[in-house]
Amino acid sequence: MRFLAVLMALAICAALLFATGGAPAISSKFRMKADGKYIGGVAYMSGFGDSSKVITATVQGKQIKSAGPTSYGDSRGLVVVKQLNSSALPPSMPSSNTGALEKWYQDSQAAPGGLAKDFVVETLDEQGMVSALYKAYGAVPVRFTKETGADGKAYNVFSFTVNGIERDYEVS
Amino acid sequence: MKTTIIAFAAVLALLLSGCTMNYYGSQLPPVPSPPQPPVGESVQVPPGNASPQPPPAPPLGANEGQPGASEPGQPVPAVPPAPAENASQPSQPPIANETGQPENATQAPPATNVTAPAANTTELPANASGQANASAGNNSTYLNASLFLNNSWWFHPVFLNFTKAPSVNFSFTMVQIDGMATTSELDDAQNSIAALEGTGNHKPGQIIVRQLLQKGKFELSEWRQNLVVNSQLLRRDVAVMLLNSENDAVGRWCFAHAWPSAFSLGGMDSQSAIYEYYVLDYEDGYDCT
Repeated sequence: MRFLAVLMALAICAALLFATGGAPAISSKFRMKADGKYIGGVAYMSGFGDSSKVITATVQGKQIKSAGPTSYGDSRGLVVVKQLNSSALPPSMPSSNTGALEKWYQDSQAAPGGLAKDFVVETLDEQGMVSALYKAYGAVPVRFTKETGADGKAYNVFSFTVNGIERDYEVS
Repeated sequence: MKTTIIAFAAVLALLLSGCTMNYYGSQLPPVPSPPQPPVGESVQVPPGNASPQPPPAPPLGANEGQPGASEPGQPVPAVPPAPAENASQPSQPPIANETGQPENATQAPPATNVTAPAANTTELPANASGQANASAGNNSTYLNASLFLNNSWWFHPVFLNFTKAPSVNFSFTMVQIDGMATTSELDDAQNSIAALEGTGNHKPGQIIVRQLLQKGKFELSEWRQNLVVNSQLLRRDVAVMLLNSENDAVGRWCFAHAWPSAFSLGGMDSQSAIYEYYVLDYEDGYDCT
């Protein structure tokens, strides 16, 4: 019985550790660049991609699938970016250009149809070298909220619609 | 009594940790919905695409990552539609209305009986935050890559419905694609194989493969971008090896004439490995063990 209780307690500890450890922190695995400058404090970026129209046809009794135009837009290219609020940045972290996303959002709100820009995502290997580079086209910030993460830190959360994404083979 | 309380607390804590695993998805802000047409009116989709088109890719090797490469506020030019590979395909893809049926199905060449696009069978689930996907209401002919977004695509009913374990006991998968040196893996392998077994042999369908993002590993990406950027639809045969814990092959599935219909870069944070995901549409999938 005691063994079972200890086991349960361990399970609780592990679960709590898991529960509190999932919060984002500034990532060393990727970085974001817009207008030629790195954006400071980015902690998380949601996955995003593109898809092609699928045409299904029956030719002589056999189903054939083919491709139509590639589609982005609507919510398909929606990217959510979490950025540590500059007030929550640790002193050791460079705080330059942390306001760029917020400024972009404000400018976009003022511009009719939003302000579309491109941004670059660089993924980094363990040595901190760029392992892959993606270019995201026609990004428009559509939403900006402030929230407190599970780690208790303040985050700026931006949602962008993105028209396209492309990997740069020359770099990666 | 004490043990029961502890057990209850443990279950509660585990449930909480499960919520945290989907932390990002559950914290998503609401997605702004695109304007909906009046009820009873079919969605009018401009030829080619309903949404802004991706720009034509700059020549490979262009110095995109450098400052000044971006042109803020520039309109995005359209990309020409991908030509159908098969000569009997309609030159213009069918455009779906709200019910998901192609509007121009009757205009297809006589030899080609255009059926509802396969992607229509993919009903979009609510994401982790419980909100229905904004694009589910219209334009549903497109296989929705947002299934991948926010790491919430596993909420897709296709995957939720398969609770049965596959008949083959395997630990890993290795995906080999004709003409490619690099290998990848089947995403959500257990459920995918169970689904394939449930579907049966010699059926068209989709698999999702994933590849750890690594420098120089871009064959899959190139395959996809050839379609998106250069409108080159290149079909390849794909084999999925099922491997046990000792790396012995215990099964094999073959997929003929596959092509990458969707791509997604996985979510990125400070902890997880970054993967590229590809949806491969195939014409004939069968157990080729």
